[in-house]
Amino acid sequence: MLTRTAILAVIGLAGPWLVSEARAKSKWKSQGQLALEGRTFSDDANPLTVDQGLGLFGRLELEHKHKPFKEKARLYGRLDQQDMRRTILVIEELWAEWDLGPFELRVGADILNWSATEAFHPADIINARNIDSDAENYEKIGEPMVQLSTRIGRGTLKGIFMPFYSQPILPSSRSRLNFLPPGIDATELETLRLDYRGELTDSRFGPQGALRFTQTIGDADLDLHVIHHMDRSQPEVLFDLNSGTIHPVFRAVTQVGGTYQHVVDAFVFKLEAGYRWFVEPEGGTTIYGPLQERNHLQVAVGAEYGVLSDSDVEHTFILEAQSVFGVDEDIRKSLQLFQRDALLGYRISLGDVDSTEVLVSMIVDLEDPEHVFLNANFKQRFLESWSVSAGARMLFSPETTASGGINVPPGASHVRVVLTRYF
Amino acid sequence: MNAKLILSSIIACTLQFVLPSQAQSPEEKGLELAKKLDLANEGFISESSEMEMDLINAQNDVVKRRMSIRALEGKGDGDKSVATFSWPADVKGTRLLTWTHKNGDDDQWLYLPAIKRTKRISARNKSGSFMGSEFAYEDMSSQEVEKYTYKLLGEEKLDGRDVWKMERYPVDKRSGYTRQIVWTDKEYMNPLKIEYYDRKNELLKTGLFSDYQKHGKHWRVSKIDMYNAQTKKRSILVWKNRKLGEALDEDDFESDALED
Repeated sequence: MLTRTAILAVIGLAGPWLVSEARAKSKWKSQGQLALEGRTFSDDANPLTVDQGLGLFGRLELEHKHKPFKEKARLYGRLDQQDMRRTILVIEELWAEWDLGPFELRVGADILNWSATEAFHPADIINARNIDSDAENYEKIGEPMVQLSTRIGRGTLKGIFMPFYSQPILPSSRSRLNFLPPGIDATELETLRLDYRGELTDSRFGPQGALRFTQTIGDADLDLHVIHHMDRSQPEVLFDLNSGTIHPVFRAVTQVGGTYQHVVDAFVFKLEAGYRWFVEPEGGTTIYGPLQERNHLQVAVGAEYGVLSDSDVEHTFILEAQSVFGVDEDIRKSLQLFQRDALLGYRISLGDVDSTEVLVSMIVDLEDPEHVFLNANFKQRFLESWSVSAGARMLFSPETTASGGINVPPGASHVRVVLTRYF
Repeated sequence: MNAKLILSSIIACTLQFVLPSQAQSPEEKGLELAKKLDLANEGFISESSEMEMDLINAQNDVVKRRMSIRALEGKGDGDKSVATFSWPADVKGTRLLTWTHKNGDDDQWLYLPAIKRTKRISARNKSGSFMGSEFAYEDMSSQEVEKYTYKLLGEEKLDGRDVWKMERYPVDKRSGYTRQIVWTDKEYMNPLKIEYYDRKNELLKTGLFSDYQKHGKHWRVSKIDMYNAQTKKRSILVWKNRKLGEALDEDDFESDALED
């Protein structure tokens, strides 16, 4: 904890100095941000959870280019004054790249974003997440990997090998995102993994890989992929009856999927899908009991429509929907936060020098429309190097259950204000 | 008789060459000039530069925008370009890839470095403000001949320089302009001044193009002063470190090449 705090302090205090030093050399590029985050939750009548938060978030990025090589480091950290267990330091990127002409080789920790849609991401599953962060777009954690890419015709083929499982950040018992019963702290439990052989292990090493092909065809972008990796989107839970302890369990999975985006006039239509085959325990069960059959297809569709008014104000309307097929309702709800839901969003960008923008969105559970998740956010730049954003998230839910899905308060209702200095 | 026939033939031949040009309409002359200008600006292969923009409001407050641009000359279609934004700091590293097309909408992708995502966007709203400036996206994109119809208004002098005065009309109904009046320098083969008229056909803004520099056989503008007559705001765009004809990799202008 002390080390993390010290490194965060270094980002905050030495970051601007490092940036100015780096700029002095022509082949270096650098940037960063330091943000003060304040948030207040609605009262959940649980004395264990923290209803108010005041945190310091920092991100630092350094890049060095000297052809044919390129190196990059990017890390972020958060120091929460109210809940020290939210204090984290994460390496997002730490890699070196070598341009070999027809091939490009990159070695090191990296984060990937293969998503086409705004809220539902069936195709974007690589990388462990900080599950104690924004539910629609979790913060990602860099995964050590070797990436080799090459051009094939007008497309790009990329092969990825990942030998190490980065650990997701699970919410503590003080977090409003805690998915375990009150008083049980996921961060203090031993996390297990069901590896590619179907063996339960606490090892952090194992083979993971992916192949991805992307190509632009006229007005459309196509991405196809096959991935075998350790799924870390939402843990399953096993009980050790002998010791009475709980183990969060992540399982190896193979996914075939892709995304398709097509521009028609002012519309952008999107399709994102993935079929997942989960590894089954060797012999059909683990030493702590069986795991559920979870193979499923996840499909998200979306459309975005933008229109510009005479006063240069841009209005964007977003409609997305997602469903999971092949598993029953109980299992579906344990897979991830959103399963059969629809998003309706509206963004207004004033087109001014301060890039003022307001986004409002509503996610509705299509199986139970009484569960509604409302989000509103305002963002504006000021004094060129600063920005302020303020938002509110409200959950309307007639009941809360432990079965997962958006009928569990995803962080519950709260308001937040973030003041950011960019450098 | 023979002499009369020969004379008639000479007159007929002469008229064949002389009359068509004399009979050309201002629209035909305009199109011919546009093609001539396009030809003069062809063959640059590639272009890279740094751009700095001062955004000045009616109270003379100034804010700056900075970006670098790399462009690849199109073969048979429009040019491809990548703009990388470097200021203000919150958009640093954001990239905009544009494939200009001679006919139809351009293709555009936006790379958002914070979430490492390349997003396909519709290029329909071309009349929108570019980075909050007085420049619209359509002002910044490659000016292909097919994007306008033309009418030559005449030849005159502007600031002591010989120019063609031409009116052009956007083909795309979603353009923010009904027409533009362009004063094109006969030596630079590029504009010295453009007046932009809005959808109500009222003067919206005036662009003054100056500080032309020669790169090989091509002249390139180094400064555009865009004044909005309706809002009294002004944006001044300045190019630095411009290089033409470099061997840029075509693969760098694909959407998946935007990511770091």
